[in-house]
Amino acid sequence: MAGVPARASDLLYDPTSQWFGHVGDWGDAFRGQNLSEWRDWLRVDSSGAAEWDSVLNSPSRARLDSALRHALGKGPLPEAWSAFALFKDIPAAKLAPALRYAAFAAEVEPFSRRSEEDSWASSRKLPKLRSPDTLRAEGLAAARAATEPFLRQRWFFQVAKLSFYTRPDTALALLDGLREELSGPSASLFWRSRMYRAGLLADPAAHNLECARVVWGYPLLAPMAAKDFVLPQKDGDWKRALALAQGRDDRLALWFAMGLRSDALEALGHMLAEDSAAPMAEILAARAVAQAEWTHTSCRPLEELALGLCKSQRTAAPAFWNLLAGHLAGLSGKPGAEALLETASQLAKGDTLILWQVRRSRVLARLCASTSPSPALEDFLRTELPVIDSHAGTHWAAFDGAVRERLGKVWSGKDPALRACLIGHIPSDPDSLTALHAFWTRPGTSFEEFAKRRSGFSDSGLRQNLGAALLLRDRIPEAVQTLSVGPSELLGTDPFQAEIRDDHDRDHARYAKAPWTRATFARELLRLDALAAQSGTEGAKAALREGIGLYNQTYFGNARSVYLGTVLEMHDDPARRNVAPARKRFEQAARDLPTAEGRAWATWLVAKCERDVRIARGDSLNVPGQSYARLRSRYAKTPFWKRALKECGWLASWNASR
Amino acid sequence: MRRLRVRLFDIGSDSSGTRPVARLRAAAPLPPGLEVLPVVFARERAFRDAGAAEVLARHILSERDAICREGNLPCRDLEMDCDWTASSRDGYFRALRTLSDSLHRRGESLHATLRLHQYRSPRTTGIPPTDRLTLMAYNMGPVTAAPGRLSVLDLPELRRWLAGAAPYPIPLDVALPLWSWCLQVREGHPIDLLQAIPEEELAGIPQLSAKGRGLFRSREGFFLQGRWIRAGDTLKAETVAPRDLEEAAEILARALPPDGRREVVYFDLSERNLQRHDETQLDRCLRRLGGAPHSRGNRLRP
Repeated sequence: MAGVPARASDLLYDPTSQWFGHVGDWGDAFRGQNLSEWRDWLRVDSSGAAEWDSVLNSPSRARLDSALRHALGKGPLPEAWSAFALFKDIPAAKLAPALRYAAFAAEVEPFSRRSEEDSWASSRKLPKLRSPDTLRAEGLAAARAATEPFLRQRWFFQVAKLSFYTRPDTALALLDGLREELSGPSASLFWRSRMYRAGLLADPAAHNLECARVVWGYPLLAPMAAKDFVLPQKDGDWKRALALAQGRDDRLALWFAMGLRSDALEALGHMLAEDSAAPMAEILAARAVAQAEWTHTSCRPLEELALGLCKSQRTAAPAFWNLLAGHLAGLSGKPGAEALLETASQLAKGDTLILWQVRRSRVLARLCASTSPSPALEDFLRTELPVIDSHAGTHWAAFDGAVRERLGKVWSGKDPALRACLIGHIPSDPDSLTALHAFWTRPGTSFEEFAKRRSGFSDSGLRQNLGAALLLRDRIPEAVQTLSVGPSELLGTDPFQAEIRDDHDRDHARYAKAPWTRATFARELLRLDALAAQSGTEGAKAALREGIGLYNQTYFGNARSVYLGTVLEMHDDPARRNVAPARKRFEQAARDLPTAEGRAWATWLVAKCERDVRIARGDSLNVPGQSYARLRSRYAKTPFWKRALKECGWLASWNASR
Repeated sequence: MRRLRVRLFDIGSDSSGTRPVARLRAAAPLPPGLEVLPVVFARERAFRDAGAAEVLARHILSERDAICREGNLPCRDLEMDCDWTASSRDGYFRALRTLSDSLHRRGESLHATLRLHQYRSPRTTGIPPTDRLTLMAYNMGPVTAAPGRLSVLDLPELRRWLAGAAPYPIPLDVALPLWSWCLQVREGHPIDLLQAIPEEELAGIPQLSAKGRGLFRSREGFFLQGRWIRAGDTLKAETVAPRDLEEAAEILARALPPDGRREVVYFDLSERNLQRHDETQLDRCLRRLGGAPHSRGNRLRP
């Protein structure tokens, strides 16, 4: 069929997506197609085509008129185009009518952009436009007078476009009347005019049939036409669309469009019932797999359909259907999967897309058929996966995710560190991280070394993760030891600063150049920890500073960069919200600091910890705990209390309500 | 009934700009004596550019005025409906402040909707700067194929959302659900949601066979509301029963402080929904929630 792409990858949407979505810019694709037609007609090279692209898409009617006068020998070229060779290379007899058309198209274009200009945010100044009726009459006259079929169709197309946007009540009759004139030589313009026609059909069944024909007939417009295909609200509308179909191609088109937008498997069944070698059925098959995975429903019906096609040998794409049947059988761990994949490989005739997918599917099939590791499986993975990884190719990430998920199942209950490497998962608890780091640093078997390489982990990365995990759990000496080796990034803040009201962004801006890293932060905490072990004033002062550091590294503090970028952030580890270590130090300071002002400040920090415990439980509102009351009863006469009331609206409103 | 909440338009936002979409066109005048509280629904992405929020707010207000004028609607006040996120909060709140200032100058007030998660976590989600908020007491449960569980109004879930939450600092109206929807279930998994299809309508579809209370099995493939229902799929109708609605009012009444100005909003007010919930029952909910007599608000789909 003319216009049907040879491969799914030629389409401008993702055939493997469960949703209908674009992967390319159809607008750019259409502009490229249009330019290629002009290039052939003008007989210019690529640089001449680029120049013509600027001329044709110029929004300035005045500049185009000047260029036209120049082509007719009546004036200079516009300054912007004075260096363009095409004005010398193309004979005036060809250039002048082309410029006349371009000027007309520039006048029609703003009518198609009215909806964008309705935007509130648009600051575009609306151009002054001539009356559409005048333009339409002028366009029709020029179209009828055009002798070149190439330009003649384009003039008629501009008339159709103008009518679509300005006279939708009469545009359908005009389009139907111009069907012959719009039919060629450009297939692109013909199908675009059909898109306009689809947009004018009020009957949902007729509209959908026309959209489906465009989807089926012209790949470049398929994304847009499929988007315009309206999923029927009533089954009667769908049945009527099928009844309006004029033959098998229309029915195939309708089911194909329906499969792109809705249920791919259902549509595929109907298409193959019409024609077991139906073109583009493979696209729906790929979508059906994606949809089944998305909805967690069975692929069994699709597998049976694919097997049936393989056995019947009545398909135009035997390699694809064997691949699909083998892939799906492999995912269910069936023994016949690899034979089907081998058949696909033999039938592929060098089709690299099929051949690479066969290799991927074979890996998945082996993993799904295994319940525990074996030397044969390890050897297979160790040799095959690096080859597939180095090729990457489309949707590699999805494949990699599926492989890791299945590796996790096969290695379930085995050495956790090896399993962590295989699935690329860093645990957040310090003991598992310590074991993983130890595994990482000692030499292993060839399979273990392969697993380490493929994990993407690094020694310094594991150390930073472990260091952060130990810090958040108040295991400071171990954190110091872990972070003593390797680079440690700047935290971008001073973790020992605190204010009455927390403001993460303010403190990061204020102390952006502070020299603290995870390693130096840990060392300072260790120093303070030793001092805080003493009783009395010095111990209390150290405890206060240590508490601020321990508080700031949590989710509630202003130095969250201690754990940001580590697994603690990724896994939403509850240790991030653990303010108990900080609270312990604040309570020591609130008890032992020598001045009322100092004790008030420490009591305020205890109160913040009380509040944070509530937030961590999900009681998010800023409800004062006992320490607010203690603060007021003991320190209401301190300057701190007055400052806190002034700065903290919550405290002030709580105080006023008592 | 004193006033209707009527959705006037949505704020659409895409790469080509932000604009009003689905504008209300009044087909007939309202019965006399009713007031309209205009509602504007906005996708949160419309507010991601905080710098444009004030201009957007002015557009919203002038669009509201224009639609009310064109439709000759007795409009007063404004309610914004937006499920804001961390990335749109600043812009949304800034727009609300602008709207609030403009409305206050006219002697009108600004309302906004509040989801249950926003009610429960004001510190993390923020508190919208408005005169009143409408707590949306619906869509709180997991969407599940299990019979007997309603995601529209899941009473145990509602209790969990409200339990232990501190009093909200802005006065709250309450929106209760009257509508029904239907889950499309395949192999035990809910795969899609069909709006506003009650059990009675499903019972009249020839391709379906009843399989128990609120459950229907499809005998053949067919289109319904733009979804393809496969042979073998199950449709589960979720309909809010009058008894559940009263129980929800009871739970809310115990959790919220009394407020004599509280409005109770019933969403949505279609003839079909009103057949299931008679006026006496709706009045009982209103009284239980402490609302002033005749202060019942309602919301209509445009």
